[in-house]
Amino acid sequence: MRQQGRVNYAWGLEPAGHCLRLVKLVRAEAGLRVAEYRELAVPRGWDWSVPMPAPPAWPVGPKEPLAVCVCDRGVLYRTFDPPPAEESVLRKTVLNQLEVLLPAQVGQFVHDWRATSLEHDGRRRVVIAAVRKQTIQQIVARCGAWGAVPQVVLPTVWASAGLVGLLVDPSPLLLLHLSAHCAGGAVVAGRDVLSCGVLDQGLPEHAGAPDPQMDVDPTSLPARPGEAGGPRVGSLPASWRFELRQLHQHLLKDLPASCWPRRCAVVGQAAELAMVRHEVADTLGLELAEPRMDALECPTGLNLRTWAASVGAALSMLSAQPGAINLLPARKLPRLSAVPLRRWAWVAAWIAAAVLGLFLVDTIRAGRMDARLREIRQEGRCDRLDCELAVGDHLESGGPAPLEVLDYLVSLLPEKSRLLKWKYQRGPIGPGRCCEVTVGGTVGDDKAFTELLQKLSQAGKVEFKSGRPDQGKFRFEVGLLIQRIPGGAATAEGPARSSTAPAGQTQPASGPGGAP
Amino acid sequence: MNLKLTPRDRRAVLLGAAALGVLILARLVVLPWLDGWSAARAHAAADRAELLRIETQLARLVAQRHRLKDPLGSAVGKDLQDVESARVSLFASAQAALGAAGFSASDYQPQKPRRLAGLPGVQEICIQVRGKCNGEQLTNMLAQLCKTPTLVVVRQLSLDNDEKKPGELEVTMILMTLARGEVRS
Repeated sequence: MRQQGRVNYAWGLEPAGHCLRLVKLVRAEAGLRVAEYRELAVPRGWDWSVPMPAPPAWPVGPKEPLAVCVCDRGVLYRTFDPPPAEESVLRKTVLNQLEVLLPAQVGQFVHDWRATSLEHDGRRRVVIAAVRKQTIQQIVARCGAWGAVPQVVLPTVWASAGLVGLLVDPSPLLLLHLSAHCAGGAVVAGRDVLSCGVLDQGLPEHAGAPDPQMDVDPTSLPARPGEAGGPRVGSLPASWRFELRQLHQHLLKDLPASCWPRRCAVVGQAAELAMVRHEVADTLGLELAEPRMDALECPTGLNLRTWAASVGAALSMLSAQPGAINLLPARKLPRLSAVPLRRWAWVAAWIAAAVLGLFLVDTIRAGRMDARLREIRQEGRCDRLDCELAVGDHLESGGPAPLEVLDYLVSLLPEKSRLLKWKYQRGPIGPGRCCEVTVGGTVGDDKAFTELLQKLSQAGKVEFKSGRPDQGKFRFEVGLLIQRIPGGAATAEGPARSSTAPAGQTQPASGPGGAP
Repeated sequence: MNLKLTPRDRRAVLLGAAALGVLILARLVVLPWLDGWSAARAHAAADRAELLRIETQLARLVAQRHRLKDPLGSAVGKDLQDVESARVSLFASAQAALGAAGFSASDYQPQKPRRLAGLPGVQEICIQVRGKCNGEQLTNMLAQLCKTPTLVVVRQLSLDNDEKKPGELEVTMILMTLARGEVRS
């Protein structure tokens, strides 16, 4: 049971054989007014399960309120009288009743229910209507293809019953909606639908296959004398009359006698003929009621009996009929039944493929790296690499090479100096990467020696061992710990320059053994 | 026993069976598979770290050899020989380099090999050389020692310049190379 929002107009659509009846109902000052009605031809006959192009001049837009009638033949009804309870409890009771009512799983159907205002023996009557979910999906899909979105889907007889609520006389009424292929009936009291039933939909008392002659096609019946265009008296098949009486009895079942209708209204395509209406009333022993609705303004030419369902459907969306039954689920329906499963299957397949792909990538990568590492280990490259690095470290820890040191020292010696003694000891010496050098020789004077000492101290730790004037010169001996030759150029160019330009030539008076 | 189940009961039983099946599948298949995957990833990460370490060491070795090539010569990159071969190679290389530089060696004295601390399996092979030369020959000799096919490192070098004989240098030096393996004494 859901409440529809307030709207100022609504479209009602009733598929009827070879046409679609579309009505636009507008709220007017005096009540309601049929603003527009169209009969859209469908030459091949209407079937929700068959995709069809939009009828010409389809006027309903996607945001316009639209109520659609579903044929009574596909609707299952059940009435029962539960004890008073809260709505949540009542809803569970309804679900239990559905399990009994429905021939298949509840999930394959959509349903709605309505608790009437009729109370009898402390119990309130509840009417349930259910229809296959696939039918609703097809309706939504077809309307969607035409650019419309239905907000209400209700059984045809229920839509017609909504129109009864506008009758001036609110006493109980038996409403029969007769079309070429099915007949639905309902007992209506004011705005309450007390019971519903469908002819040829398996009445409890009905046994055997439906009689083909049960279908009433007024155009096929001959005219009755004295009534232009009308059929003859007693033209309805006896079997159909029998079925009609069975339906009547079914509708009255469990209803208190005070609610039994004494009059009937016949609407629908087959009700255009007065003979049919009278014969139906005669068959049921009821008075034939002619609808008189002061609250509804209809244009001239609109036969309300024929258009009752479409007008009633539109009416169900307006405030005059709040809480009308609606078989469209509150949740958005999938477009087709197979689509969501297929979609989820695709999603699951993609996720599975992605996970499997990641797993394979990880496995292949791990295998490749493992194989590569095993190959490296088998060849002993790791050990060799460590060993070669250690050898390199050992060689680097020796400090500068003797040729570099010699070149550097010769470049520092001042004029008139002579190198008499030179001793080189390769490192490692102590914790540092350095070599030990001892230099002995003569320089011009002590001032020159002091300058030499200052220059040597830039290369490393200097230890002054001895120094004394000797025959006009200054004789010295100095110890050095050299970690690195200052200035990279000397290191890089040392061997090349030395091999081509000996110290004796670059420093004419200072090379080892050079002339003083 | 004829047990009649309502549709709701049947659904409940089916749902329970499906849940049980999912649990068993997860316990027996999915979780072990995830564990295996996780282990493979951890193994791959360890392998990658090891390969990265090797790559880093390789880059360090290349840079180290580039630094050592100038002062010690291109023989730095060669594989180490065994002790006996290294002894022979050291003597031959030293003799060739000294001869090419004009150094007149008076004495070659092989030294006792010694192990290196922190370098297991690597021995230091040394030879002491005595001789005479002048300054130019000395620098030429040191330059020639960097061009030998065998790694030859000057471990110790001492020069004495006799004041009475200017230009003549008394040279005593210890040349060294590296070899792999244990020493056969």
